[in-house]
Amino acid sequence: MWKRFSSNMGAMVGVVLLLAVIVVALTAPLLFPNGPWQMVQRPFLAPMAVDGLPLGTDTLGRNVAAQLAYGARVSLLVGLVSTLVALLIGVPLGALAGFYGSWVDEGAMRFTEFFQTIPNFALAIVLVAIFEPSLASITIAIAIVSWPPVARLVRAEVMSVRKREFVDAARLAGLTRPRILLTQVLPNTVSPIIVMASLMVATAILLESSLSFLGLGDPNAMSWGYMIGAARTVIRTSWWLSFFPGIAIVITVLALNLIGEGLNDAFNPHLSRRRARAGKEKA
Amino acid sequence: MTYLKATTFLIAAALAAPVAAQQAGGRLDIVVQPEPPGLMLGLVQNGPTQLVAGDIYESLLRYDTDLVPQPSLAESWTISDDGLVYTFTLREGVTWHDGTPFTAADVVFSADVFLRETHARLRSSLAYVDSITAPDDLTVVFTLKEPFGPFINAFETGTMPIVPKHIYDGTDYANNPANATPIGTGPFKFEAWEKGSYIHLVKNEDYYIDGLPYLDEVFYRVIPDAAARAVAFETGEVDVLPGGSVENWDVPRLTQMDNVCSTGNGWEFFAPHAWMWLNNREGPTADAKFRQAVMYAMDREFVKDVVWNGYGKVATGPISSKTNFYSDDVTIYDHNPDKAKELLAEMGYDGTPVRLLPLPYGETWQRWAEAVRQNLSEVGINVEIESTDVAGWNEKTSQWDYDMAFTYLYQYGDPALGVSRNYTADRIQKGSPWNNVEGYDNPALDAKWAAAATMVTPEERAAAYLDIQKEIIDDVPVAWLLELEFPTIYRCDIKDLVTTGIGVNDGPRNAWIEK
Amino acid sequence: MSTTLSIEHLTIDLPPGADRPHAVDDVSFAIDKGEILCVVGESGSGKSMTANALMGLLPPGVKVRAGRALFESRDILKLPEAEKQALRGARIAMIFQEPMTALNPLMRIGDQIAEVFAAHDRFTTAERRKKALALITEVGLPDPEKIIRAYPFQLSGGQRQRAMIAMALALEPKLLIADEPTTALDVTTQAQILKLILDLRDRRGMAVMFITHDFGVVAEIADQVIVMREGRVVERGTAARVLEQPEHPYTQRLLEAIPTGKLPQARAVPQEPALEIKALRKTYRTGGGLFKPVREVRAVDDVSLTVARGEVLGLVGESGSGKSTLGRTAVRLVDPDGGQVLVGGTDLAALSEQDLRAQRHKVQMVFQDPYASLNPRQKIMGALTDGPIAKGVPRAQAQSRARELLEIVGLGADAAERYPHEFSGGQRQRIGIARALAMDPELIIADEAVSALDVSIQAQVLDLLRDLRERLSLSILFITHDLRVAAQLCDRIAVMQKGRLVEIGTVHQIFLTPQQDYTRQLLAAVPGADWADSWQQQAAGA
Repeated sequence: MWKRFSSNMGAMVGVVLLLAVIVVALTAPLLFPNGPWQMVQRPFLAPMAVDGLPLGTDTLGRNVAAQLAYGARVSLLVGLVSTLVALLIGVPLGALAGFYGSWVDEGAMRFTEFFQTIPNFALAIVLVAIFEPSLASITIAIAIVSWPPVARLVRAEVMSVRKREFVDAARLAGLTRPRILLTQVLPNTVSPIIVMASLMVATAILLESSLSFLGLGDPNAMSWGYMIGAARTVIRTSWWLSFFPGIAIVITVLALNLIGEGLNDAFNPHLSRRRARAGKEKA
Repeated sequence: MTYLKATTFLIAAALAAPVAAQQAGGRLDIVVQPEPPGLMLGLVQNGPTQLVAGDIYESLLRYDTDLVPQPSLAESWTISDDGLVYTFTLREGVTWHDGTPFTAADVVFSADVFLRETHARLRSSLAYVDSITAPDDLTVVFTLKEPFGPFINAFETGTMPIVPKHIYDGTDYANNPANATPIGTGPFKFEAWEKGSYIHLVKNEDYYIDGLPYLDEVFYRVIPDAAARAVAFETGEVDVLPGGSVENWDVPRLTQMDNVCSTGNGWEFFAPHAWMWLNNREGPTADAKFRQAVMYAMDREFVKDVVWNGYGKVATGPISSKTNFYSDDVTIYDHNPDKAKELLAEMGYDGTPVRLLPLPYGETWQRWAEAVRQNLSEVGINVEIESTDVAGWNEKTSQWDYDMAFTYLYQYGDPALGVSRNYTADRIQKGSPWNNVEGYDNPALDAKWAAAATMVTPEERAAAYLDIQKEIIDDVPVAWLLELEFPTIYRCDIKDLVTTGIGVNDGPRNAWIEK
Repeated sequence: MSTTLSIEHLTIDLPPGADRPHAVDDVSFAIDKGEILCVVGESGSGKSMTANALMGLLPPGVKVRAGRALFESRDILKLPEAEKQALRGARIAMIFQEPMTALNPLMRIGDQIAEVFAAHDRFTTAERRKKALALITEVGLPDPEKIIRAYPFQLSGGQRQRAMIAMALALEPKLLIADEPTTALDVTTQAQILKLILDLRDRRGMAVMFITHDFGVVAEIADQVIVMREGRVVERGTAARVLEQPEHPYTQRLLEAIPTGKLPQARAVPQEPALEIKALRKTYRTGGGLFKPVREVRAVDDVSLTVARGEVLGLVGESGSGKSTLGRTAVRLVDPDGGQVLVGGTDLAALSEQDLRAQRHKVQMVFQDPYASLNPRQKIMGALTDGPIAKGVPRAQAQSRARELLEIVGLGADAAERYPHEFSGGQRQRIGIARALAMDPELIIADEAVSALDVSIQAQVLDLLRDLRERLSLSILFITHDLRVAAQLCDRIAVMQKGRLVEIGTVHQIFLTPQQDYTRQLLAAVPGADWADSWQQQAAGA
C-alpha cells in the first residue's frame, strides 16, 4: 500500500509540504525564542526591508516570520486535536449504530441528523461565542460540528463488514458481540476513516482560521487566522501581513488534501479487487 | 458680588458667530463607531450615544472651546456672591419634539429625579446640591450646601441632558418604550434607526433659534469595519470622521487628501484619559507593589508612537494636562522593567495569571492590549487577554469581574467633575463601568478630594490637588496610560462643525455646507 | 465462406507487474456459421479477455499486442470506435455471467430491449415494442406482457438471463459471445438456458462462442472445444474427441477432476447421531408496512433430519430451497422460529445467548466465499486461536494445536504467521476447515464450501475432506447445489425444495432409484449427465 501511495506524485508533494509545516511548527521556539508577540522593530516594515526580518513586521512591529511559525503550532494542534475528538465521538457512535442496528441505529442516526441539519460554520460561531473564545472552546466547537460525517461513514462501513462471513465465523467461535465489533469489524473499517481524518484536519484548520479571522479566536494564541484578521484594517498599505498567513493556510490545507486523496487511491484498489473476486457467488 | 451679565454673553456669542454667509440646506453623513447601545442620553452615556444624542437633547448651557459657559436652554443665569445659589432663566417658547411645551418642571425632574437615579457622574455633583426648585415655569434655582466652583461646568448636554417629564415621570425609565424614539429639545429630531446601518435625524423645524439648524438632516452611519470606514470617507460616502472613527494608521493618509480638513479641537471638555482599571479587591492587582510594577513595566511612549501615531501624551496621573489643576511634580513612572521585576520579587508574585480585558472599540485597542501583555510578560507577569464585545466589557467591568481592564474616560474640565468620581469610596457601586470600578478605598484621600472641591480660590485648589496627585500616584489605584487625542476629519466645505468644547457632539447645530 | 469469426495469433499484453506478461498468448481459433465453440479454462486462463478484446471491452492497461480477428472479412480489432459501435449489438452480441449487473436496474425490460433498437436507429417506437414482445416470447419468458413492463429486480436469475439473451438477439447478430452465462444459475435453470441457446442456434443459424469452466456444459452443447490455460490454447478439437480422448495432460487433469456420476462405495456408518434437527421452522416476513401486505417466505418449513457420527450428509437444493438457511439456523447464526437442534443432547435452539456461547464450539461452519471468510487484518494464527482462547484454552496450547491443524490440512505450520491475502482461494478454504476443526466440534457444516473454487482446486479440497472424514471420524453436513459434488463426498443425500425436505436417502438410493419427481428433475438437469456416465465407464474400462 505504501508503494501505491509513494508512487502518487501529488501525495508525495503533499507529504513534503506537510512535513515542512510540521518542522517549522516544531522548531518555532528554537528559531524565534522571543515568541511571536514581541515587538522587535518599527511597525509596517516591508519584507526584506531590514536584515533578519524576511517577512517584515506587523502593526505593532512584531516579526511576521515568528508569527507564522508559532501560528503553525496552533493551526496544526487545533486541526489534529479537534479531528481526534470528532473521531472519538463519531467512530463509537457510528460503529454501535451500524453493528447493533434496530433502535440503537435509529436513535444514533436521529441524533446525528440533528447535528447535521445545523449549518457547520454558524453552529461553530455560536458555540465559540457562548463558551468564550479559547483554544479549548474552539477545538471542541470544531469537533462538535465535524463528527456527524464520521459517524455516517463508520456506520456504513460497519454495516457492510458485518455481513462478511468472517464475522459469522467469529460468532461461531464464541466471541462476544462487543469483542467482535472491536477486534473483527472495526479494524476492517480503518482505511476510509483514515482518508476522512486527513481531510477533516484540513477542514478543521480552515474553520479555526475563519473563527480567528472573525475575532472569535483565542486572543492569547497566535494563529494564522488571527494574523489575517488583524491585518484586515491595513490591507491596503501592508499587503504582506495578509498574504503570508494566507499562503501558509493554502499550503497546509492543500498538502492535507493531496495526502488524503493519495491515501484514498492507495487504499481503494485493494478494496475494488476484493469486491471483484467476491463476485463468484451462487445466485 | 459676582454678577455674570447674560447680555454680555449674548453679545459675545453674537460676535463669536462667523461672518461668512451661512447657507441652509444639505445633509451630513457622520460616522458613529461603535453603534450606540441606545439613544436615550439620560440612561446611556457612552461615547457614541453622546455623539448622536447630543443633537437631540440639550442642557441649560453650552461651552465654547475655552470651556466658557454659553446660553442654551437657559438664556441667562446668576451665581450668588457666596457661590451657593445658581439661578437660571429659561428661554421662552421652547417645545419638545412631540410638541409639548418645555418648562422648568422638566429641568427639576431631570436633575433632581431622573438623572439622580441614572447618571452616576452627575450624582457626584448633585451631592453638593441642597435643593432644586422651579419658582415659575421659566426659572430654576439650584441651592448648594457649600460652594462648589466646578458646578457651573455641570450643565453640558451629556452631563445633564434635560429629559421630558411628561414622558418619564413615574415610569420604569429603563423599559419605557419612548426610549426607542428619543424626545428632546435639540436642533434635530429622531427619525429612524436602521440597526446596523444608520441613525437618521431630521431638522427640528420648530427649533427656538431662527435659522438654526442650517442642515436638513444628519445621518449617523454605522460601519463596523475600520478599513471600510476609511474607504467610505475616501469615496465621499461619509463626510465626517469624528475622532476615533478610523484606525490611527489611516489618519495621516486621509488628512492629506484634497479638500480634507482636520482639527484636534472639540475635545477640551472631555480631555479623554486612558488607563487600565486594576482590581484593588482581589488577585495580584490588589497589591500596590504589583500595580507599581505594572506601571514600570509598560513602555507607554512606544504605544503613543506606534499605536497612536504620535498623537497624545503619556499620562502621569489621574488628572489630564488639559484639565485644571494638573501637576507633574510627582513620581514619574518611566519604562523601567528592572524596577518592575524588583517590585514583583518584593511582593512575592507567584505567577498567578492575570486577565486583561481590552476595550472592544477596534483594532487599535486590541493591539494596545497585546503590547501591554508583551511588556508585562517580559517582566514575568502572566497575562491572558480576554475576548469581549461592548456588552461583555460593560458587564465585566461593572460587575467587577476582571483583573485589568482598559478604559478611557472624560475629565469634564475639572478634577471635581470627572476625576474624583473614580477614586472616592462613595463612588464604589456595582453596576456602573464609570465610577470607582477598581475599588480604591482611601478615606483620608476622600476627605482631601471633598475639601478641594469646595475651596473658594483657584490657588487653594491647586495646592490641594497637587497634594492629592502626589499621594494617589504612589498608590497606583489604576494604571494611567495616555492622554488621548482624537483628530476630527471632515471635508473642508463643511463649516462651523467644531465650535464648542464637545465638538461634533453638538456640532451639527451650527454646521453648514458651503456649496 | 462459412467461417463467421477467425482469430489469428492473438496476443494481449497485461500491464507491467501482473503475474504473467500476456493475458492471451498467440491464440488462434475459428467459428463457423451455426457452430457452437466452447472455450474452456479455469479462472485466469484468458478466456474472458479474448471475448472482451473482440468487443473492444478491454480494461485500461490491457492492450492487444498482435494478431487479427477477422469478422466478415474485416479485422475488428483495428476498427475505429465508431465502427466498433456499429458492430456491437448488431452483428456481434455478448451476454455476461451476472445478468443483474448487466441490466439497468432503473429501466423496464421492454425499454431496455427497445433501447438496443434505438441505439442503432432502427424502427419506430411502436415497431420496437412489437419486436421486443416477440423477442421476449422467443426466449421463453412467461407472460410477455407483464415482463415487458417489469424491472430487472422483479425477475428471477434465470428470467433475467433470458431477458439478456433477448436483448442480445434483438438485432439478429451473426455471432453471440456468451461469457459463463449459466455459472450463476441453478442447475435446472441452467439446463433451460442451454436448451434455449441450442434452439436459437438451430433457428437462426448463429455462431456461438460459449465460455465456460464446466465440462458438463461442453458435453451438452459444444460442437468444437478449445482448452485454454494461462493464455495459451492447449487443446482443440471436436467436443466428442476432446471429451473422450483428451491429448494434453492438462485437459486430462481437468476431466479427471470433474466430480463424475460415479458413486463411491457405500460405507458403514455408526448410528449414533451427531446432529438431530427436529421440525425446524424459519419464516421470513417482509413488508407489513401501512399499505403493503405482509409477505411470508417459509425458508425452512418443518424439516427434520439426522446426521450420524462420522457421517457426511449432503443437503442438496437449488437457490431458494432453504438449504443455506437450514445450515445457518443449525449453528444459530439465525434464530429459528420453532423446532429443535440437538447436538450431543443439548438443544441449541432453546439456549440463551450466554449459554449458547459456551456451547458454540460444538457445531462449526466452513463458509462459501474464501475471500470473505477470513479477516484480512488478522494473521492466520489469530483466526485459528481466537475461538479456542475464548473458550478457555491456554494460548500456548491453542497455538500449537493451530500449527498441527495447518499441517493436517496440508498448508504447513509456518502459514500461521501469514495474512489471508497471501493465500489462494483453495488454500483459504483449507484454512477455513482448519479453523472449524480448531474448535473440536461435534459436527461441521460446510455451506457451499467448494462452490466458488475452480474444478481442479475443488477436487483437492474434496480430497482433503474425505481424508479428514477417515482420519478424524468427522461428521459433516455438506450443503451444495451440485449433485455431482455431493455424490463424491456424501454418505447420504437430502434433497430440499422451497423449504421442505423432499427426499432423503443413501447416495445410491438417490442416484439410482429416485422416488420423487423433483429429485428426478434435478438429476436430469445435471449437464452432461449422460456423457459423464459413459466417460466414466470408459475410463473405468480403460
